[in-house]
Amino acid sequence: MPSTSPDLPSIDEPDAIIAHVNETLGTTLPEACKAGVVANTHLLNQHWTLLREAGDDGQ
Amino acid sequence: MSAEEGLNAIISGDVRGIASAVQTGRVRAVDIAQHAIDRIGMLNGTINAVTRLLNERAIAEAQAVDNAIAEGRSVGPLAGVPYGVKDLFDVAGLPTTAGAGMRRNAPAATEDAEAIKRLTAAGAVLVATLNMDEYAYGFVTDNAHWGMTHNPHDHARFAGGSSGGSAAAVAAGMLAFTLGSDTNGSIRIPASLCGLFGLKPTHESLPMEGSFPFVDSLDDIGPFARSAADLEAVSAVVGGWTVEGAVPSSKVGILGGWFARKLAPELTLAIRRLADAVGAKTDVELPKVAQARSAAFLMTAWEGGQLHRADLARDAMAYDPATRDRLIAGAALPRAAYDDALAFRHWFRAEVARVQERFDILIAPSTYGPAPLIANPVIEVDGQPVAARANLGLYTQPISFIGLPVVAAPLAGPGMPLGIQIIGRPGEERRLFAFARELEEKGLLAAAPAPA
Repeated sequence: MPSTSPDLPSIDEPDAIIAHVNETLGTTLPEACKAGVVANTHLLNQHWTLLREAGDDGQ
Repeated sequence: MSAEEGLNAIISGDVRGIASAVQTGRVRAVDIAQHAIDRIGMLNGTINAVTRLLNERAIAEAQAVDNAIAEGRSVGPLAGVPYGVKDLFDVAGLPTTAGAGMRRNAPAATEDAEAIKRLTAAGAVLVATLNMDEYAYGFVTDNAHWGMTHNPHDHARFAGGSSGGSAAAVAAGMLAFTLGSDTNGSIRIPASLCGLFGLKPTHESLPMEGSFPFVDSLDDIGPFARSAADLEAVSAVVGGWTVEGAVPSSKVGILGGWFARKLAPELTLAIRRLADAVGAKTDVELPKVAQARSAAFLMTAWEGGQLHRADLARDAMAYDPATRDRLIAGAALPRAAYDDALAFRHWFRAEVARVQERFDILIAPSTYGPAPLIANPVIEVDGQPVAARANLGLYTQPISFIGLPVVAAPLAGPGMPLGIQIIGRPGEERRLFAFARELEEKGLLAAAPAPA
């Protein structure tokens, strides 16, 4: 069964993504990283969503 | 034929041919090593495959081989064969950079990686370390610190990655073979784009000691070579494997579904021709391949992120921008995503094993088509342009996700190289080598000729 953890923040909320990353890493992201981190977090969220869909129909 | 022409003929030949010429005294190992050094000096300015040229070490190792022969001592099966290693293998006396600028001045390795020790014992001569994506996180070998590696067959195109330097050095005829590493396709993709054979072995079947890690659950090392026989000869030395005894014939299936719907037309045709030639069953389906790729993405992001988490928090700007933002996103990924990927892997491995009960060998493309242009780094997926850097692993990630052995092999033909994956059951590398040799003999597989 897939996890029931909440999704990562949506790409529509880039500030929430950056806040999540800062809190998780215990640091403040440099400005130059922010756009790339938001895009990559969105990509990982998409992959996680797809993977959870696999769990929803059987395994 | 002049002495120089004779030397060139030997050096441009295969691994076993070079070793045989050295063992029988037709050529000195020192002359072969010097030729490789000279060829790298001539070509590396445009291809940028080599990061460090190990002149002194190469000549010393080659001299040791020549001395052994002169004294009548036995030399190994790779006597005098020049090779190089991806920049993530420990080389005694040098920092192991893993392609990272921040590791330029890391403490020097105190001993060689285990794979290098085994190659040295077999008489091979280490000539160079080779370019890669930083920390092996990429499919194109575009490195902010060491520059871009160019495809020897068309300098305007990517060599592939992350073991791009390892592939380009063999494809350009600089070195007879090289070692790389493969986590999600980092041997198979550059082998395909550069027209070579490469081995992604069964997970953890070749020695990892002394190689810089990326994703322990997926990382493997493996060689690049210009023929299936050379690939097997080098793999046998590195793995301590036997190469004797017959291999039974194989029932072959061509993977369809996910592995067929996004291909370049010329690759679709080439795989169809190959299927006809070997009487393979086509359109063999694996279940939920898209999810397998996603799970590989998540495992890579999570494990890679955890490995670099402390360094990212301390000095993120020291990283190559191409890897930095991906590693940061991975470091912040919840553990639950990783656990979901692990659970899915257990299911997917069992499903694929069921398919492999019916087929000894499965064939799939390595990439969607030929090497992308550096000036236009996009590929088309489902009719949409997507970034090549992140999407070249469409067909490789679902396979390495469950640790299967794969021989990446170049399809014979004109134009830019195209490659396939020859996929086996765990531990059945010898069957893959035998099948690849058979296709080579039939003219269906062939390494792309090295440019003059």
